[in-house]
Amino acid sequence: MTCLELKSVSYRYGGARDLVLDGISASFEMGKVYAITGESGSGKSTLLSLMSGLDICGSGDILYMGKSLRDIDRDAYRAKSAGVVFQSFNLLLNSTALYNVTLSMGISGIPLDSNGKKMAAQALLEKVGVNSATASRKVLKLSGGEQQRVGIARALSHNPDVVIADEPTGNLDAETESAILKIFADVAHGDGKCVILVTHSESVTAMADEVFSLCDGKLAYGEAKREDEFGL
Amino acid sequence: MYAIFNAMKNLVRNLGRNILLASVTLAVIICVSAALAIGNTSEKMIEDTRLQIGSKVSISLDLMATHEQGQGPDNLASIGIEDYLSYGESDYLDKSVFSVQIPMYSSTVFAVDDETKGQKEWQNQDGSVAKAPTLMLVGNSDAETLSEFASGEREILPGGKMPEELNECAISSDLAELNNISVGDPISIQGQSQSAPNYELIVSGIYSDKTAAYASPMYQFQGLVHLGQRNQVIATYDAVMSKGYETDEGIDFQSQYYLKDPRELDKFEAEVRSKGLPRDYSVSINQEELDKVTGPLAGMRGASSTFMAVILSLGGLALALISYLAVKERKYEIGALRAMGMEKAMISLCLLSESVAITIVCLALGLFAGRAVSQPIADSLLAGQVSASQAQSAGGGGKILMANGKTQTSGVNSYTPISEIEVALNAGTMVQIAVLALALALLSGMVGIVSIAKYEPLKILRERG
Repeated sequence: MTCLELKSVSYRYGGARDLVLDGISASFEMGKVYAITGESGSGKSTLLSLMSGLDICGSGDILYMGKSLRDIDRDAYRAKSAGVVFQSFNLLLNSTALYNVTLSMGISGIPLDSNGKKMAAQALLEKVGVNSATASRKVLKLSGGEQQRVGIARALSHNPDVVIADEPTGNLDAETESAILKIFADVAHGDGKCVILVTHSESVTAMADEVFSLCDGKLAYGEAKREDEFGL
Repeated sequence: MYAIFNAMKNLVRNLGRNILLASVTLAVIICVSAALAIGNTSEKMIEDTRLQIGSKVSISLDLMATHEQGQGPDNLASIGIEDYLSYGESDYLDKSVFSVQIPMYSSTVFAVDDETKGQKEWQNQDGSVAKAPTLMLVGNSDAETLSEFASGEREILPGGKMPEELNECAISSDLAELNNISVGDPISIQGQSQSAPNYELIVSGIYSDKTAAYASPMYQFQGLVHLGQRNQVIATYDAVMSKGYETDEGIDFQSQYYLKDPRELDKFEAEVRSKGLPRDYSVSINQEELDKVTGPLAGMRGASSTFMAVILSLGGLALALISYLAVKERKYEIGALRAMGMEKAMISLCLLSESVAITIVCLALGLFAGRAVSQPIADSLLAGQVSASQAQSAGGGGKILMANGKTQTSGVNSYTPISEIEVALNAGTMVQIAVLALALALLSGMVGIVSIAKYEPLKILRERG
């Protein structure tokens, strides 16, 4: 079943002449892991912002379950349907790791009481490699890798239909990266969710069911090639 | 619910900033509490005094009006004592008080400060020569309204009593000592002219007198000893009028009417007009007295209102500024929350909840502290207002001796401005303070809400990136 569909999506930043994304079309199915690769500045993060409903494309459309993101409540979409892992994590720095995850559950309206949320959040954090001691520390005092794992746990906390992650393993060691990728694979293949990973990592592309590459605002099916291989 | 919970957690998370906000809020609430408590208490005291003094009605010749109409002294309408008495028979009145003063002379009772020992003479208006008055016979129909006795400035000494019978009188201890008079002794006083009635009175009481010896030092300088406070012979109104005065010729007759309800002044005036009171006479409450008595309070009320307005303006501005800066500082946090899907309304609720929570804590502390500081502030303010009032009235008061020998109060010497206030922080005032405090909280919260309305999460997060 198609979860997200890009229809001739174009985008340019205010005042800029060139398009960052130029007529992109693609479909993302439930139960699959997708990898989007591309050089720095190729528009990967912009595409992620559009798919996560943080921004609206200039032309074309993005459909979630057949409905345009323009027409639905994008706050509710982010809170309940999409789990986003940001490249810069975007966690609440003065709060604990645990609170970041439980707050996300609260925003999404998960029907659990305070203790239930804490237990679920703790279990999720353990799953991504954050133990209870680390979970009770302020995010500000965690390492980059730990913050990334908290970001992943937060994105998964409300059991979203689509998980969109920007370089989710960029700060992780190989062992943790492998564990995290297994989690994403389980989420897609086991729980039937759609996982879209924006990445540079070969191990990520290796485990993805389908790979897109983004270059000069165009999305191509298949693994990213060097610029000269695109015939540019 | 999670939004409120998040707001409460934020109070502790952003402790430094919230302490700053709380400090400003607390300072504003304390100042507003004190100002409102003082203002409201002053207002109530002014209203109570207005009800008291405002019930006291005088009927007097309206000199301004007659002057404007170009009426000379000979054309003025006059009313007799009987008329004054008939005006007192009204259902609108609680009581009527009549008083009379007659300059007298005595060959056996020497007046205080009279160095001539009763030998001074003066020429009457008709050209006849008579002994100058040395004493003042005072009659009052209601002893309770003798203000000097009511205020405690005069006090009947043990063994004596206020005059009650037609042949009784009370004199000052100075006059009694000078003439070696004791309670029970008879005294004889005469009118100025040969035909004026004489009074044979028994001293029923001797009083101590702490009032000023003269309403104006000029009286003593001019040798008008009968205007000296120590030279008054106090009798009952009936005793003085028992000699058959029908007009106020040669005597100073005063009437004072006390309304049951000060709001019925117009009705009372209509009634006395229907009884024949000429238009040359006005029926009025003693606005001057009311203003003088309540003046310091009115000044204090004005000062507290101004102070409160300044504090609310400056405090509101400071809170708005701090809130604006706080929200700017929290932009990333707001961006992260928005990225997580928290709606703007929920974030607004969080900010508002934080403001209200801080305000509630400050309100509790502020009411307590405001109550504590309001009394000393009020005492200090009132003392300043009383001093200003006294300085303003100094030199302008006293009694004027009229051409016909009457006296007329021209100043405020008989009035005592309110000089003490007990500041109360009652329920009504507390509600007002709470409303103002919550308004401040809303203002503070609204600044944040308006600020975040402009924020788009992606823009915030990009800026941070």
